[in-house]
Amino acid sequence: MQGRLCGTFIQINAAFLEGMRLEKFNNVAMGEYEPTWQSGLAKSVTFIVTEDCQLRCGYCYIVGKNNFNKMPFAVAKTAIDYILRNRDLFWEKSVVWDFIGGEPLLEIGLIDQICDYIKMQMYQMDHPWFNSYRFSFSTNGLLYGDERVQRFIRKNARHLSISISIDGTKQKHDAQRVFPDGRGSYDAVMKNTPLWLKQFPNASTKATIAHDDLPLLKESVIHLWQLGLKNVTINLVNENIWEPGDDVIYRNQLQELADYIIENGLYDTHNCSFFSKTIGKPMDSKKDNGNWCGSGKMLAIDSKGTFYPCVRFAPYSMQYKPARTIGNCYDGLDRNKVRPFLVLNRRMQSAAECLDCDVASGCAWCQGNNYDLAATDTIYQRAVYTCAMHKARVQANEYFWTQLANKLGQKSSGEAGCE
Amino acid sequence: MNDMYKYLLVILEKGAVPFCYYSNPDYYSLANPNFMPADVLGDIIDYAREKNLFLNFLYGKHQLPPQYETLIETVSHVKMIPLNLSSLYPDGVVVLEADESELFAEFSSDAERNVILRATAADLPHLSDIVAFLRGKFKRLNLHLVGLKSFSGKQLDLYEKELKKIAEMLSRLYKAGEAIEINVLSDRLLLHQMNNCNAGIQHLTIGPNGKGYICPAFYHDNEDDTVGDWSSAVAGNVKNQQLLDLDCAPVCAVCDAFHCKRCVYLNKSTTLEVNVPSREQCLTAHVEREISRQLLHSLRTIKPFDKFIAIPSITYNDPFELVIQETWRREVPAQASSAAADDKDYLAQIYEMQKKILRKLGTD
Repeated sequence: MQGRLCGTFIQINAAFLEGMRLEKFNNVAMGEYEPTWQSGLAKSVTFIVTEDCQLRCGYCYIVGKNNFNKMPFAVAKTAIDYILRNRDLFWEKSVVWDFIGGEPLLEIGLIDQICDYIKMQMYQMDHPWFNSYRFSFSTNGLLYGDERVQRFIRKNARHLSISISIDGTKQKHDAQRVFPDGRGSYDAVMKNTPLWLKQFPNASTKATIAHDDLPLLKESVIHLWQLGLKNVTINLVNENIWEPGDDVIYRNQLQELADYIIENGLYDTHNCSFFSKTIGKPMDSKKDNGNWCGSGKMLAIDSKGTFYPCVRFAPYSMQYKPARTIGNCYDGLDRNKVRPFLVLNRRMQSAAECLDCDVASGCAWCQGNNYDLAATDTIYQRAVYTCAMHKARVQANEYFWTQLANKLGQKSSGEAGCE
Repeated sequence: MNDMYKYLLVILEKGAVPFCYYSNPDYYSLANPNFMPADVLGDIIDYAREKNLFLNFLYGKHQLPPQYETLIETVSHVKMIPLNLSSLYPDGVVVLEADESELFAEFSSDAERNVILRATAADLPHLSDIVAFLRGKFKRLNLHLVGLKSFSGKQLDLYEKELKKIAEMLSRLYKAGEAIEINVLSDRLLLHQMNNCNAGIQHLTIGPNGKGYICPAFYHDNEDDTVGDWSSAVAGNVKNQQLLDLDCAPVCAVCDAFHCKRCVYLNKSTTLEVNVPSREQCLTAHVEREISRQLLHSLRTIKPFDKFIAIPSITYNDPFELVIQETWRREVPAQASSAAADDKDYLAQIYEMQKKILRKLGTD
């Protein structure tokens, strides 16, 4: 380990990553991700059908949960009509109609009505999306077994993606995903998980890691794999919650997980988003100047018919700043308010330390979080609260790929240079 | 001290004359002057003298108390004044509303004066007549379109038509050896790099309340939209100041409408970002750029214009299109490389649709 932290680690690591991971681990499943539906080129339209939820998760970015903002069907209908009739603005070959809350399944009746209307309108208009659409949900899973939900699933099975959020072990899940009275929701969600995995065998879950539960990371990923979820996507909380020393815990957890993966040969069959073949290299300020986030290319609609570049810019997500709208379903898109999102690039929102960072690739950000935390009302200031955590992840990746190379009988140039 | 600042704009009263794209309702309505406190003015002047900073004073319709006049005359400055004070301050830069131009032309005989003309959408049909009427009353005319952010396509067409007439007048005058300037046409002839307003970078504004502002427009729009106490602001404590710089303006950085004011107030009020212009601001600047190009072309055989660098002909009227096209060139192939084979056939369609989007965004 000493060698990996030497002064030349970063440069050697970059070459190592470029030269080794992509080529020598070409046949390793870990770090290879299924391409998103339609290669991510589908339009994403998100309906915020309710701002209510049965849970009060500790890390939830939705700070304005309430039980009064529910989308009237008339608003959804107006928005759908606007979107389908303006093909030149919403030109993509495919569409993902996304339903979000709060907890979207609380409004399954409304969602069913909206989906029926979408299908009918796409058919009647002979819209190209009729042959290329999906309905997508991220749910807490509590209502998954409800008969109305199951009826909806049967009705739309061929066009449906449903992800249930499970954070890991019962201890980890219940540390954050709790009911208003503080009870954990793990047991309630587990009642529905077998049915979900039976209906969607290739489903993946989206887990979240926060400060308090970092020590539970390794066992949580293993637990999710043991539940049958072979692809585990995990995100760190973007907000300013990380404390000194968290990066060390994080790196150690990932390295222990790496050992487990290698010892058990899981690198060919399982996946965890913490491990990547491309993370941790310097980025060219011209060639690698794209924005990480797709906000502005997506469209989120709230119960009043207001358009947002992403749900993270809606009022209920904002802790410090006013919500940021880009039009509404009655007057249409405000083309001027969309412009900053479409021309936003990495260089113009990043501080020099990020642009010059030797392990920049794979360092993520959330545009809505950036905006909420920026010193002024701008999306052009990148929050850097996860900097140490990203670097810890890069180190853990270096460890994983080096150990894997050793196991597979390959020699890492990174090790050779540092030791 | 932020060494970038070259001058400070000092708003002497709440009802100060608006001299650019913005409006100040108090200019028309306030009976009470609400002057900047004399001690604050004194401190600013002392600071400017100490730091060798130039000052621009924005006057309202009220005559200043003698104490203020005495203070102001102790420092290098420019006065920006409404029409009713133009006789009192013959060296002041007069700010005219379009409907005041006739009155101004009647009594003014100074052909060396700098004049600012503010025209609204309602003035567009006779804009060239107004400029012609003012001929001989200015050395340099700065034209500003008030309400530009809500100009329609038809109004921009009308502006283009009137600007062509003004360019014809300028061409005749230049051929006759008369060297006057009209910012929206003559500036681009001489420029080889961006020459924007640079509010918040080269200059800061101090309101009559003693607070710092990016420019007077921010003060008159919302007094709370301050960058802090004036002494702190001029010392360089402006948050996210880098976003005011051309380097952080993704659209403007690729643009060659060098004369454009790149008004950060208009940017903020239309796109919500100080560094991204509205489509209307870009279209207007490109109308001006194109007519400047034609003007220079018409003068190509005349000295000194024969030495000027020709303004190239371009195919876009909003540089936003350039940035988007570059983004697509970079991002779509990257995503497509992982796309299934049957996805790749529609990448061509996407490029085609892209052109349609740009056209759609160009219509009202």
